Amino acid sequence: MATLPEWLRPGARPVSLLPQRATAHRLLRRTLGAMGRSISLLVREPDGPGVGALRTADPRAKLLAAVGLIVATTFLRGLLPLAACLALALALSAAAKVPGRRLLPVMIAVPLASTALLLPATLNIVSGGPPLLVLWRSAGGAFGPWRLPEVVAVTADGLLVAGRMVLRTTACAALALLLAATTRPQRLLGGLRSLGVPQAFVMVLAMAERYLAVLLRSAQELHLARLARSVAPIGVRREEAWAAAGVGAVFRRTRSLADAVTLAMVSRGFTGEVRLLRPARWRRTDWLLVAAAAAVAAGLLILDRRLA
Amino acid sequence: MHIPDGYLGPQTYLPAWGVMAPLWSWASARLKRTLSVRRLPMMALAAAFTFVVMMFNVPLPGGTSGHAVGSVLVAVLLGPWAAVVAVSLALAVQALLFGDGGITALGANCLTMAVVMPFAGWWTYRLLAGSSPAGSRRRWVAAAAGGYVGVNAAALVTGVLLGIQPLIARDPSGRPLYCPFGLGVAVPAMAVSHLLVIGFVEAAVTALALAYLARTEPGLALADQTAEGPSSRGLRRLGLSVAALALLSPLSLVLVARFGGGTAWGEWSAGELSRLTGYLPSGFQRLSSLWRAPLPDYGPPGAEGVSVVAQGVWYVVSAALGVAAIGAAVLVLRRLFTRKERDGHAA
Repeated sequence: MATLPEWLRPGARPVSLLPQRATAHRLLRRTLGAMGRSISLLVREPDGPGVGALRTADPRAKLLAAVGLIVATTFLRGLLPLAACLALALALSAAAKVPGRRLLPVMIAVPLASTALLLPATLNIVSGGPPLLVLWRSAGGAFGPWRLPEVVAVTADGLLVAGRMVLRTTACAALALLLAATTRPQRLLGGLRSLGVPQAFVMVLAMAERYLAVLLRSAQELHLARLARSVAPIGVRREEAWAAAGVGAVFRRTRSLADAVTLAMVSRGFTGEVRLLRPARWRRTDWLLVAAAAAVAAGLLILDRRLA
Repeated sequence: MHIPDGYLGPQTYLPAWGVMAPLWSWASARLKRTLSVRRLPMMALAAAFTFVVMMFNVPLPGGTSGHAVGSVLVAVLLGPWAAVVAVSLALAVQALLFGDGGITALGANCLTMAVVMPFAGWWTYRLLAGSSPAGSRRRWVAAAAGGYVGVNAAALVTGVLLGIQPLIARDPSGRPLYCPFGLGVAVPAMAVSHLLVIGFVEAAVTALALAYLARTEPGLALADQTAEGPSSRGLRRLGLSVAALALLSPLSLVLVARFGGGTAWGEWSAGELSRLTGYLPSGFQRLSSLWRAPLPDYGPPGAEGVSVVAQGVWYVVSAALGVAAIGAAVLVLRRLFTRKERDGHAA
């Protein structure tokens, strides 16, 4: 049995709890914020007409174009072609009026995380090559079975390797974001047929997207209820137990929802066969988009080989 | 554990897609047989559930926080093949709609989190849980072990996928094109963080969620108690695959003999180490004389310079002995757990 918390005992001063409360709930608030953002991305309003040509293009064409460009980006080696690819993605995002609150977090977080991860790769220990900037010198020697390096330095090779990685990851993330931000989730998943994904998978994905908002809302309510009812940190062990109980509660909701959805589908004539609406016909502008993406990808690859 | 785009080269992510394609079609065929009409809505909801599990943040000692992947929990609740489909779909939604985890790397991410993790966790769980009742202590200990083993197996494979990049893709002047950290850095970095911290989060969430469900929903049928789980056939298949791996173990000898490599990095014996570095640390010398293995270097004692074929046979024998030793240890542990439970029921 848990002991009576300090704040319930007679004589406890509520004022002293306030700063503690703020730190205890930072994590809860952060999770709640992430869940809220996810829900708002899933159930956002349909995009208004005429907000850029990319928004009105067929989702299948956009998927083919974006995936083609991302695959081409993973083949690029030179810094210049990679930077050109990133600039293209950013220019298209600006042209399609991707809102800054969507674009900026990704364009700040991805390069920062990549840079932090790849900082050791700029050193001579990982990448080798002649030193450019010596950070640390020692007499060498050994530490247990390991030999200590005599010089730790940033190398030109290391900078090139890390720069290439950061540019490539950022360019890929920008292209993926451009696709996601200019297409409504339901239409984007429906467009997967054009990449050869089986119908059943497309249908399940579209259903998953729809009910994801419902389950996220349940999880959000759990967190909100917890936030409203707690005043002080409860420790890692009980925090884990709380999260696990929350996961369990969401699973119960998942099962009852699955049963209800199955019954609703069966009552409307569902027999286990998948039938989708006939997709819209490709327009000339859609072909044009795919052709343009293919041309840009080919151009980048040729430029890359020329420079190498 | 999500690998973003750009860290894996096409030489790695294309084979990963190639491995996943038949697994996905096999998984959906299996589910069609067992779940019929319920299959589509259940899979959709399970995918959404997996996504939500990954959003639950758990504070870690030291002020940071982490989240569970939940693949093993889904495998325990719905069966490993359902987990393959549900986790893959959740990862696809994450990659396409939220830009979390890469699009080209989706195949590799599915391989680690939707195949390696649920199956490693499921087999561990089945091995330890046996036929114990749903709410029993042994079952949730098994779930915790499953979560721990599953997430560590996935982390290991992720580390290997990242670590082989500098070996297979370099530009003309020899600089790595993709993830620049070799196996000696990527594997320990992934393994240590998961062995020491994240594995315990996964274990706790898996076991405690199961305990919560057993307490609040006593009639809950777990995957291995319904037709949806592979039950003893899965165990037989595990045995077969372990045997196949043991038989394949001399492959490395052949490869080393063929391509002229050395000993695996970091697995040098005292003799090799002194030859490589020119001297032998005194602590190493002391430690290496403490324990003499019955089969040094997986070969017959005192055999230097025997043929590759003879060495291969000894490799298989060593592997079989190792598997037998681990199997015996697991059986003893199982027996101990069962007895404790029986005592508990009698008391």
